[in-house]
Amino acid sequence: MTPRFPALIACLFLSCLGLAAPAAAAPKAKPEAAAPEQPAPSAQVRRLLFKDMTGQAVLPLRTTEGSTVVNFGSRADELVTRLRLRLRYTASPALIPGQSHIKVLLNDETVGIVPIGRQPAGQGASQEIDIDPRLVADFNRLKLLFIGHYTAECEDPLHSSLWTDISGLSELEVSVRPLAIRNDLTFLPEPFFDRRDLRRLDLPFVFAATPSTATVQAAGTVASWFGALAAWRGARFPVHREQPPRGNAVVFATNGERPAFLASAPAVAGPTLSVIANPADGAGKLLLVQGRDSRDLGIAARALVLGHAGLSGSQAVVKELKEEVPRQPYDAPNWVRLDRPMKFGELVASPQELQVFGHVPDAVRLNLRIPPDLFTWRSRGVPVDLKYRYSPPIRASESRLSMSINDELVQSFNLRSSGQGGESARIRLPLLDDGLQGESQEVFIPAFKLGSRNQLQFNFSFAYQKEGHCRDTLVENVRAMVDADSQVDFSGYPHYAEMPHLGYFATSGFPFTKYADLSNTVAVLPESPTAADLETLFALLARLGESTGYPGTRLRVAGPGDEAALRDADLLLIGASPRQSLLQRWSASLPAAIAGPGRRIAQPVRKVNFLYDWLGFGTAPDPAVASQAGIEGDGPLAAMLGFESPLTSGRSVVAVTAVAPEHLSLALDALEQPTLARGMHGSAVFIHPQKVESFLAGKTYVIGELPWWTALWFPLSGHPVLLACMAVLAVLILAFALWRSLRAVAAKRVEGRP
Amino acid sequence: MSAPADGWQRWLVAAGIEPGRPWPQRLAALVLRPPAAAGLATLAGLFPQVNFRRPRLADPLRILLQLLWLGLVRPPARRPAASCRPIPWRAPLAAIPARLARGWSRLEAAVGSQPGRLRRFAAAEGRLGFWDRAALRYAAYALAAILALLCISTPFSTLAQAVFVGLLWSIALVIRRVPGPVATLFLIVLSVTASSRYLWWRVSSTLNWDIAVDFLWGTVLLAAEVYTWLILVLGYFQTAWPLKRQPAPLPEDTSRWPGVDVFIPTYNEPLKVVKPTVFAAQGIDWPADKVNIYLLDDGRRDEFRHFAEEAGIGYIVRPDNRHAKAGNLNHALTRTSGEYIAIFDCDHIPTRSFLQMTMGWFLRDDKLALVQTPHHFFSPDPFERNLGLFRRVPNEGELFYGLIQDGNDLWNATFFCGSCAVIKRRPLEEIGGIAVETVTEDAHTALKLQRRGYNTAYISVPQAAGLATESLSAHIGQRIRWARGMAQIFRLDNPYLGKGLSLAQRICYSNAMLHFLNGGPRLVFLTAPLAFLLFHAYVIYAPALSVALYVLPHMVHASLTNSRMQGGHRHSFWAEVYETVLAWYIFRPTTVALFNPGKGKFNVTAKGGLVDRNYFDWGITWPYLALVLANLAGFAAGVGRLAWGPADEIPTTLLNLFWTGYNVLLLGAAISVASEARQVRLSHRVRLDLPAIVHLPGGKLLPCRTEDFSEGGAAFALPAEAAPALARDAEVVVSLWRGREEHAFPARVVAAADSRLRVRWELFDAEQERRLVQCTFARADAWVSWADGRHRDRPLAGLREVLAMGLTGYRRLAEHGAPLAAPLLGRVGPALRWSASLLPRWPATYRQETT
Repeated sequence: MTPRFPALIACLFLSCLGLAAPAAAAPKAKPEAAAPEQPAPSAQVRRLLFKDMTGQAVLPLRTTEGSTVVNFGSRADELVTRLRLRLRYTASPALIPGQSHIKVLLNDETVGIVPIGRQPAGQGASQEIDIDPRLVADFNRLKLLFIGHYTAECEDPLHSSLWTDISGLSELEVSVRPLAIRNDLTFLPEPFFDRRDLRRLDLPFVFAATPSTATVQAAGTVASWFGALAAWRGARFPVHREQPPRGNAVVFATNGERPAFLASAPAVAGPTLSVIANPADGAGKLLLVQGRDSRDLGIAARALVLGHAGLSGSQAVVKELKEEVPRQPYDAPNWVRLDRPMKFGELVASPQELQVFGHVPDAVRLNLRIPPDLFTWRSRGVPVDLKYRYSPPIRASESRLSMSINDELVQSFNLRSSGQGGESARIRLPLLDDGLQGESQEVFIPAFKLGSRNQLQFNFSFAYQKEGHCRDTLVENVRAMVDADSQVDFSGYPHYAEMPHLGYFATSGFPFTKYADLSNTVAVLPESPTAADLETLFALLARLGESTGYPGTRLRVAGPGDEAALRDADLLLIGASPRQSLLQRWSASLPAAIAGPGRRIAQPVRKVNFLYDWLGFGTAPDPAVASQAGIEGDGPLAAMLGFESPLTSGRSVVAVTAVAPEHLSLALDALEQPTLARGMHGSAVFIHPQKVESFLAGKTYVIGELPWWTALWFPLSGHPVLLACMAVLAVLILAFALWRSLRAVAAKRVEGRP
Repeated sequence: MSAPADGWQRWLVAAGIEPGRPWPQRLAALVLRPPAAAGLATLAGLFPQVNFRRPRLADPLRILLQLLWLGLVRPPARRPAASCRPIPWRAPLAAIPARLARGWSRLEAAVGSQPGRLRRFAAAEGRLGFWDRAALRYAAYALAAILALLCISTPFSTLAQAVFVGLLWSIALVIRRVPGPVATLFLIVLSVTASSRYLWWRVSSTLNWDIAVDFLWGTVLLAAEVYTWLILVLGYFQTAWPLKRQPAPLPEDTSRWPGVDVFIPTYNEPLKVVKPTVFAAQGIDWPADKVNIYLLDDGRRDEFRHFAEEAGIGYIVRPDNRHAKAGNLNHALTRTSGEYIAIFDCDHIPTRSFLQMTMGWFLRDDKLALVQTPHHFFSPDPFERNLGLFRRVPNEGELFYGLIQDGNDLWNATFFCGSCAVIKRRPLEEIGGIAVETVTEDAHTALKLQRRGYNTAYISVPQAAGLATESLSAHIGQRIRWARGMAQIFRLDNPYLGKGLSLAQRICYSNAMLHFLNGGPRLVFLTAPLAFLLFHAYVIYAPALSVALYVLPHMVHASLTNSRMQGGHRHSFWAEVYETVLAWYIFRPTTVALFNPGKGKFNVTAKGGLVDRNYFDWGITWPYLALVLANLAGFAAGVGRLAWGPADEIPTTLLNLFWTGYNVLLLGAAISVASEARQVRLSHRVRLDLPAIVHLPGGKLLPCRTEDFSEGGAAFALPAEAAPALARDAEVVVSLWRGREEHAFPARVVAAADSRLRVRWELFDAEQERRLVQCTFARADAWVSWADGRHRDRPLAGLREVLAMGLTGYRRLAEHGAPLAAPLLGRVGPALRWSASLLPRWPATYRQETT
């Protein structure tokens, strides 16, 4: 998995939603500040901690002119009334008071000065700065520039005493007031999703008392769309019945089945999308997805997720919806292409992301989502055609480009100073012109490092020029760029994976996301789903959408009794054990069960004998002889189970279950935390609050196809002893055959026969 | 049991004291033994490498090393002798390796002594008739083929590959002990499997397409390896089952024996060389009216005409010399009429039994057009002379005549070798006489005969003997001719094309021709490691360990199998030396001939000369010196890379250093051959054990046996008590036997000492010369026991010998190239011996027990 990504930097580039951030590192504001259900229209106060916004516990400032940037956004439907920066920091005691200070800039305008150097040594300090809220824009850059001096003359800009650390607990206190906006579909997805809001998307869905499966199906499509939009922020959809909550919400209704508050509204004449003010508070907006019947509702939902760009006005009736072409496997927009090499330019939102400035710049990062079932056995690696340019370094020997994948070094290249050098070169350095050098190197990413979510990192580092006492100069005029024309090639691999592997599901929603429109996915809810069941389903679908970057327009939802619908599909099973009847019916196939207080986990047979194993026997866990442990207990517990569909072989079932419906959210919480999600693998994952445990138990199966020769070699390659026996047998037969025929030939020759 | 205690007790045992006794007794034994025994003798036993009576400077060092050695190293494993009581201090754990080794050798012995069981199995198979059901048989073959393909192609991790090859290797080591053809075939198939697996791995996973330089080098090396693989497999095919044809008996009635013309072509050889051949031919046992001997003199020399008249044989000359030897023979065909033609090069002295051994098959098989016998050489070729291998290690030609021709015979693909053969006139005339299109007229003639559907046969009994080439340059010249000729045939009359041949014949012929293209691949192997060491190209794009795990089985299995099949005719690794020497020289002509087969002329192999001084043939060696310099540069670069290069390249560097080191030694052996040793005698002495009687001047008869003889003289081993005091130049008469006939030859004593008598023949007429030849060189059994007393091939011993030869080469190079440095180099040997004297060794106590 990828490291936490400075989420706020990413917000600059949100126009390419899917690629912006690899992980659910969304800063979560304090619940009390985040809740939109505060009494309107009074101002709300939010506290944004630096550590949440940047993902760093400490923001270090070094050298004479060190700087750091914190990004934040402001929603379109809110007005910032007051902005206060509470800066907590620790400064070096060597700094000269009066000369040393931190300059605070908001969107490049100086908004405050923090003098440093007066505090007692080693003690933290804090200072509050009120910032004029009029300077706040949609996306904001709060820059802290460190002006540090430790001596009056002959200052070494790299001196180790030049430091100040900004604490991650520094915060921005933002007071906002809701802003009235029109009921207009033009703004979609705003105000329901605002990309300037870097918090998790919490968007209530409102249904009638007992929503039908078709309604849930339409809501699921919408949920996956919002999931794709929310991307790394994550999304939850609290389910409400009959009455809308305060704030923004999405309402699903047909003429026959509508929430109580719409009981008096006129019936719609077809698939309809409309925005109205929320009657619950008057300030929030409701997005109504309506139709005459469930079919209409589905059309309305698909029109919303596919055609929202063409909507305007407060209400739109969908006259005609052209069915989109079914998606091909593995063609999710967020995933790397498997049919041709990909240019780096395709992997980033703007070429600027491939360019860096400064002597030790931040890495150039490329996020790669790769189908987890790529079969890279015996591959020499994924070829990367790397081209890069840089200002000629003065000291080439210590300047280099390191290429890493997921923070593991792949290869380093020395940067050359051909034709350049000496003291004067630094001054004459031309930027962006012919002075930049281009080089091309072909390297291979070690294939074993490929998970489903990856980050390619290119770190340039240029050596500083240090010529002696009092002769230091430091000009940050160095820049480097990875060429957008570089390419990475994932084509040509077969798809083959041993299942169940819940890790695939946790990180990329596989195998459901194999088809980006979820055309092979059937979500199975209990007969009478609770709000928690529905909420879990929508959150999971949002995750699938986030993975693919495409709404699940062909998703199907079915009840446990509808066996015809369950055939020939990958099943996403939701529901606490006693209520989800399929879990009971298929209990023989389950790798584990947590029905009620009784919990059972089947242990696979251990591989005991090395030789036995290499002969090719006893490698797969055998459920028949597995031991079973029955555990009695209570307390919150959720589980995810993966197994082969009992109805169709080669199809997968992922069941998300819990001892009680309200504990299902444990699974969602765990999936949102990268550290926990990384611990999910195997066929059974038990989820406790703040803890997951994974097992591989029960039967395994494979999905995908290998070329026939690989299908032969792959299983044999682990069994050299067996193969040696086969070799001896073959050699014996052939030697014997040769002996027979040569003997016959020789006899004929000696007899003198022709 | 702790190690130090072990060490202590070893010292006690070494000093002759029973370690099992209690401490006081041990001390007493040390002190109370008689001073002499406890003193010098004990010490001498403990330190066998130190002479305590004559202490030397480094003795303290020797004693120190010996003490350390005794204290730290376990004595060699041995069976407890019945007389010796079990030694208590051998921990059971420590004995495991020894037990394993013993178990292994027992297993090997058990398998090796069970040929009967295998035969019974084979017989049972026959009775059950399992294999007679074609469907079952082909199903089994198909299964085996599929399994073999899987075993060749399945990729493995390094560990799995190690296990796989380890198992196959162990099996090969066991099967090696099983006598009989099935085991040989098993080893062949196993070797082909291992080599194919290597090749598949090379093709599928070791080529680096990303870097052009690597790919280029890698492909060239791969091509060379494919060639080697092809030659290996074809070679197995050719020699899997030597026919070992026995001579067919002739009818009792000699009137039914056909007439034979014996052709002895000559061009520029001295009469001295031709004479014995003519004399021996006159002694061939065949009805006198049915054999005619012709001397075909392309040199048109009067001396020869006189000799022919004198000897009473035919003498044929022709106006021109077109097509050299082939033309000469074809011309003679028009002047003679014998039904069969026996051809001897003018230096090949036939034995009297030649025709009786070979003609039988003609009478049995009407389609038989050619019977070939081996070429045997009683003088050393340059390899044998310059490396001192004569009669000790099989020479270059022995593999061909001992095994390959015999193997070819199975497939009816024996070919004509220009001499020592009988050809039927009618088929020969049918194909227009001896082939003249190429410079290897002999092989081409056989090919043409076989295209016409005629058979050939080979009888692997030396029935004629001749002189090997004298100098390396002459030897190389001869091989160049062969190589060029074979390449010409490959182009002009490719055995794979055209009609009339069976598939097996095509394979055998093509192998004979392809074999001579080995120059290029050999040069590639000699330079391949330089690609990495000097140019940093990964020729084999794989980790060094994987390379070792794939290439070693390929080499080990091939070596084991070839050693078993060819051991009597070619010692392991010598082929490398032969090929290395020739590589450069045959590379050019074969390449030229492949592109332009019309180029090149026949060159006569010079024979009968002598090397009159020690010299170094710089002209011949310069390509090898260049290769050595390149390899040494590579070696130095490699050592540098070890020291300063990146750590992850060390294994690859080591592998390449090892390879280039081997190349350097191989080249050293090649250089060694170029250092021509002086050849003193005008006529070659042949070691032969014959009964003789020496008539001493006083009329005394001295029965004795010959040690060696030549055309000029002989040496006799005398019974020790009968050794007479003979003056130099004393006249004696020596009696030798030809069958039952006794012939006396006058001679003069050259030297007589230490039960050895050496004489010089004093023959006074041609008749005596004829008799002498017939009593010696032309004896029916003259060459049969030639290889007796030679040790059987052991691959590792062969390797050691070849590498030692490489070192010798450099010493000789230094002696000739930098005479000033020679004394310094002369010190190297003693210095090494002195260093070796420092090494610890097992005391007498242990050595007695082990023996």
